[in-house]
Amino acid sequence: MIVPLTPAIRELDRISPTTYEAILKCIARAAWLVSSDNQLLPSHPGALLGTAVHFVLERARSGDVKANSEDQRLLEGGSLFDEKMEELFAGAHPLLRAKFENQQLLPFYNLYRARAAQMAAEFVRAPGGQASIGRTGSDAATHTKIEKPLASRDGKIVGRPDVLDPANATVVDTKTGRISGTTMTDGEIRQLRLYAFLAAENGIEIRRGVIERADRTRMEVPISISEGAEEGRLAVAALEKYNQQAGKPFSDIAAPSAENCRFCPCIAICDAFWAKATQEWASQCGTHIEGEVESTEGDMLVSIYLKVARGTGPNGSAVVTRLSRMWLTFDGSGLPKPGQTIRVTDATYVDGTMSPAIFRADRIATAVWTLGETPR
Amino acid sequence: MTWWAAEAEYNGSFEFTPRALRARMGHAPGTATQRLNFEVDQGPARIHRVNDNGGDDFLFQKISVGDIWIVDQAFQRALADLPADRQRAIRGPQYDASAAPLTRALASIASTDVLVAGIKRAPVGVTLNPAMPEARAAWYSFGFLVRRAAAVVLDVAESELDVGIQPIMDMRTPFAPPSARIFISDSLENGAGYSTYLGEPAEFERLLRFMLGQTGTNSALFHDFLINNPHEHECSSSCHRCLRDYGNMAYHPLLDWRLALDMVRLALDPAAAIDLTQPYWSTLVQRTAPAYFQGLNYSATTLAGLPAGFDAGAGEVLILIHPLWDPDQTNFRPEVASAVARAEARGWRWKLRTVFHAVRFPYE
Repeated sequence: MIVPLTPAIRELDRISPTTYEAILKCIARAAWLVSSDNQLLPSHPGALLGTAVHFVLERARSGDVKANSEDQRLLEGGSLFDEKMEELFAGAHPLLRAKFENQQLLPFYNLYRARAAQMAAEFVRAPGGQASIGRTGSDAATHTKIEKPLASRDGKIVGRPDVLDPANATVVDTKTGRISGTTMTDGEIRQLRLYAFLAAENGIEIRRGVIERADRTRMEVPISISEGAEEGRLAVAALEKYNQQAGKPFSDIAAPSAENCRFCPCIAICDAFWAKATQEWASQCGTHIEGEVESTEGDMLVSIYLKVARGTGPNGSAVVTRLSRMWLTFDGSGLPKPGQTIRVTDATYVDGTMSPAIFRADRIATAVWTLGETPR
Repeated sequence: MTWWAAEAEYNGSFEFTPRALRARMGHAPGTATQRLNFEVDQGPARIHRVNDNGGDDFLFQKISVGDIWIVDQAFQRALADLPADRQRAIRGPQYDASAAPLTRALASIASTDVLVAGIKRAPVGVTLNPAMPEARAAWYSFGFLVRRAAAVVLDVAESELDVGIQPIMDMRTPFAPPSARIFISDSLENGAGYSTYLGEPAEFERLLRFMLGQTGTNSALFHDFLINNPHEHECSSSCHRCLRDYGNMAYHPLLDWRLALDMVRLALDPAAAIDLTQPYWSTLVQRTAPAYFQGLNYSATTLAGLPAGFDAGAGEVLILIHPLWDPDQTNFRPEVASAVARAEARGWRWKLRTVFHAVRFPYE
């Protein structure tokens, strides 16, 4: 699997809360996010599942989960999830499809599906064309049906909150990831404030932001009008900062650091990361190594011996074990050859006390990339 | 040797099986043939029974007269079991100081005919990982039910066949949890041909169908006895009428005829319903769940169709699941995921318990 080309940096007309967060971390990361080529790198299975959950919730808010009984609504929600996942998996990166025979084998598939169906089933259509959301009806509240993303008056900021509840001046964002806990992250607070700003720009006053996690833990934060407005101003500034970098090479605008590269999907293609990463980064942004292949061995399970020169693992002789041959050859390419430089992303560092140092593949995230040098 | 003087506390390991009693097979005799949802292999193989002294091996010391080697620790243990006056009368062995002690494990190695059978695919959310007591129980129960059926079909004594399980990894998917396969070996040295005969794919399928009552009168008697009263009502795990005998005493706490039947159905059909709706499971759950929840001071309820107990004070729900359902969230069955999602929606903490566990540990 050859490392894909980096995307060209083009000016953006507008910014979404997700892009805003990415720009705050690294402009290159944001460029990858908004690029239309983002299928060139494998998505994390959790990202696909999260997309499907949001799809189900959106359809529920649009009134497509409408059966009278909760059991029927659960079935409808589950079917919508299955449909969306089938579509997403069919279009997923081939490496993901080489690792998992079908979408139902993705880790957490049924749990995400059930949670999505449960949340969808709780949207109950109310008279008058509005819908309500509630936790088993106890705190049901009317909310505005959002057919289109909200846009700021100048059109520079767009976003679609999961639930906008004018009656209670509340915006709710559902998080599908596995992060748990009762503390909101700074990024989540920024996102809620930006939604509050967008709501205000559209004549809806929001005073409270709520994050609901996948396990239904809910946290809320008060949002003042001035906080929302300030977040809107900062988002526009971030957009301008991004646009000032248009036309520059990807590596020049990257801002690699242990914190910024955490969960970054671009590590395989980001030369700036490889130039700057050190072993100390591993605890925050995972183990990624680059080196020259010395040999390979194994039949169905392959080990790659290499000389590591860069990345977040220790430099020197290393072996990456437990790689399925299928993961390395699904695209028709053979095993990496001696002399080729490879990048192994999201490996697990097992033991550095021995030589070679041992790295192990991870089923969900590990990928092996070839830089395309001529083999020896 | 049984050391009655031991005063070890019970450590909760109910499924413990002495390693020295377990039959083990190194590698399968040939290339397995796939049929329906099972793969089966047969031929001569070596069966090992290894006693490595709990992993410590035995230290043999040569006595000064003759070529006799003794494990002094074992000698001292045996001596300690004797009355004091007899202990005093026995003179301990005189060891040859010039001979270096030998560290050894003991093994009984027999070449015989072997049948090896595995299950190719388990449905999403079902685990056959033998590291889990429930799945290990399923494999052993499957093996001993196959042996009992084979004894009936071949009209031989069950003691003529030995049973074991062999954990295996699927190298095609390096991170898939391990699975296992059963092996049935002829207990006669060099084999009597039983396992070779039954290990033909068509014969093995016939044997599986026999266990489900699908191959005639004897087959129906075999199967119906298991699933009908009085056996179904009286036997919540295993008994001497179904899976237990003197020879498999070490496995009695694990054996479960319901799990054995599930494995047979799964071997024949990858889409077999492995769930609590099977009549032999649903009746057990109806009998067991209310008392189980009552014993733990939970009020019985259902959650997404699964039996559950709710502790309103603690805001906690205990969900009963099929023994082969994976408790790992990454591989939940749809039923388990739905029950968990409902619990979360109500703001309840949730725990999973298998029916297997509830039957064996009613107050835990």
